[in-house]
Amino acid sequence: MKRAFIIICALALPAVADEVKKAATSESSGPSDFSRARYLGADATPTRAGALEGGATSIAFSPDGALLAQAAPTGAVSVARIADSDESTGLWHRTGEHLGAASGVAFLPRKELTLVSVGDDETIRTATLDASLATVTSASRQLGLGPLTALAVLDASHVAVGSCRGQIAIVKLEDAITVEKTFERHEGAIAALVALDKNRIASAGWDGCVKISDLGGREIKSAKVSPVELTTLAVTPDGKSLAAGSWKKGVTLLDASSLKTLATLETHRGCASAVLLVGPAKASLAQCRLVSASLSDETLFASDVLGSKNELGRTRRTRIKTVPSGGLAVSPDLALIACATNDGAISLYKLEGK
Amino acid sequence: MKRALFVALVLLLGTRVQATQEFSPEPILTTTAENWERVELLEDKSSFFAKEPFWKDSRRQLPDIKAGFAGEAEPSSARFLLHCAKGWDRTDDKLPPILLVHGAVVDATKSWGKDGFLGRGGAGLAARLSQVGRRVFAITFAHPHGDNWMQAEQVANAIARIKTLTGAPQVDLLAHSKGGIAARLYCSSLRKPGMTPFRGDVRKLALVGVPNDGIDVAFAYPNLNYWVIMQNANAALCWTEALVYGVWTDLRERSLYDATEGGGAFAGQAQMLKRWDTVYGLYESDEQFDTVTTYNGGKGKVSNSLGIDHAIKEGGDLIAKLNKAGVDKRVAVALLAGSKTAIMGFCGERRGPSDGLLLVRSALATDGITKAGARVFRRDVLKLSHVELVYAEPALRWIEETLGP
Repeated sequence: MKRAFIIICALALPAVADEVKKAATSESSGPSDFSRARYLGADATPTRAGALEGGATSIAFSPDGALLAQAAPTGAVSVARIADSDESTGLWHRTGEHLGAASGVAFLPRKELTLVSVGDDETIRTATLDASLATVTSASRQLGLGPLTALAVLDASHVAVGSCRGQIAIVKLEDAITVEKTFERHEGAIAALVALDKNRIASAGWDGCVKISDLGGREIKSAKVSPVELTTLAVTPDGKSLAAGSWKKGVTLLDASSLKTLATLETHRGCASAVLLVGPAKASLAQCRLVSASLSDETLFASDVLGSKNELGRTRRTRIKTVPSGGLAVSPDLALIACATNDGAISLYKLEGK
Repeated sequence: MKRALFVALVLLLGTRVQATQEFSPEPILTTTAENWERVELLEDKSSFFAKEPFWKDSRRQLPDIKAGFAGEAEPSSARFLLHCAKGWDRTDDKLPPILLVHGAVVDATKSWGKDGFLGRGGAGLAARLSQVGRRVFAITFAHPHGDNWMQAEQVANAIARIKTLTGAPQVDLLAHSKGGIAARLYCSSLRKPGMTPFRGDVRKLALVGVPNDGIDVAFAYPNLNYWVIMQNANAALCWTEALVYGVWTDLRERSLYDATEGGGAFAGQAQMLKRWDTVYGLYESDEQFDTVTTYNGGKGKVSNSLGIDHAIKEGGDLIAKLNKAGVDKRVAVALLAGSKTAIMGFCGERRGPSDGLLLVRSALATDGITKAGARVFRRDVLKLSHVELVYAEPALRWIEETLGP
């Protein structure tokens, strides 16, 4: 709700006016040491899915950190060169289009630049790009699992895909797109998927559960983490710990083997819509920083390195222009955080501090 | 219809009563419109119906709708429009004809016609379904926020008219938002004296963005009241008075409370209410004032509210009754929810997954639907807002598939 409304409407009684002014001008607590490095305008080119609004549902850095990809609610899958961006529009290169919201996008760890995306049209798509970011080859396949809601890269030729009906598919992406395994896992939609190692994935569902599965579809472990729907799931670089956000307050840190709760940290006044565990290669939970964004309190948050006691330490917070819709990503050099907002734009913030 | 009259009526659960005898399945006026080959004005003279009060911004002002109602901007709820899309009389369609039931605020043209929802709607669902060979009809209720009991009876009457026009024994029902409550009511055993019992003439019931387990967004987000005031929006308030431009202003006339509280123009809204604070809590924000008093009732810093429990009681706790009754076992039900909070330029309901207005859990709730044996054969979520569910390509595709063979 626009803040202006309440100011205009209510501003009259002195006692109320003071509170209204205070609320209207307040920034979140904590030092403002998030500085915005870049602003990438929306990919405004129309798509066939109709006039759909909202911000990117998923964003991803390329392995070299030079590119950023976004999946948009319009169905567009686009790539931009980060260095090109400077409050300008038209820098997005359209690489593909879903006939419905695109809900997940990722770069495959291959020599050639390859994007994979999933969407509401029940389809998984791949696109190989040349140096000019033009699409050289593309492929797509409808999986028949209902609208697709989550995507995780397993290796250069495999991904895991989640659907709104609680199913997970292991999909092989080579010349042809092949479904290797499909299994039922959650009651309701899969909110997020992450790869723990070569053989295991973790999933977060609208049933409030985090589940560990092997790629053969066997459920290894399950834990009810929240009484309401989960929103997001992140994994540490060593694959041994998880962070789950839900529509309730608090981010739950979990041991990725036992799914035992290690800590619950309150990073926002309301839900955490997107969460990252940021650390160098092979970093453990203690070596990671917790970064999160919330569409409840409209802030981007970052902690210090959590340490062995899983404490937030010095926290950083900044108000986000509109509302994060779930898209949050960290650059490979850990220097930048990309955050999508509901106006369709993506902002890059410097992740300073320790 | 004054809500007080309803309170006096006894609900006859499961009792067979006579169908409304006064409905004449012959139009009293037939017009044409850009989106429709034929628009019929139909009337049921039963005393069950009444003229409901209109808030000034709720009047039927769209030219083809107003013309369809014989120039009346505030028609009696005894009347409704039946819109016949191109190809409604085709003989090669072996599937049941489709009846589209619109939600609150809008009408058949805005919902299902070309360029609906401020031009965003594209060709529209009616044209889409016609193009794939279906016989398509749509209803426009007299009142955009009207009593759901009366609207359920008009759904029954519309189906009767479609059966007369086409000779088909059954229809498929597609309802959006509030329209789903009327559609569910007809397909249930729940009725008041004089209402038509379900006749087994619905094959499929597709409920798109329908508050199957109720809604409380108007009470959960106090600032929504200010938004409605500032936008002159065709929507109900849950405040009875508020500080507007520095002056305490009487808002009862546009509130969703009943006539005894000075309201009465949004009867159907109060009937859809249910508390969701027990699941998701109340929305906490420095920018929202009077959160607790708006929800639970009382005077806050900038507003006065009678509270959601008061409104639920005035609405007869219809959601609880619907969920107790279930949908008739002869009906196959499909549910579609949206999960994008961005709606019409702002971020709406965000205590849980929602389409900006309606929580996904409510839209996908099946317990109350399956109580009487109805089967839910499809249940999906698309990343769309409440209004996009009506016109966005993935929703149209879902509807087309769902209402297929």
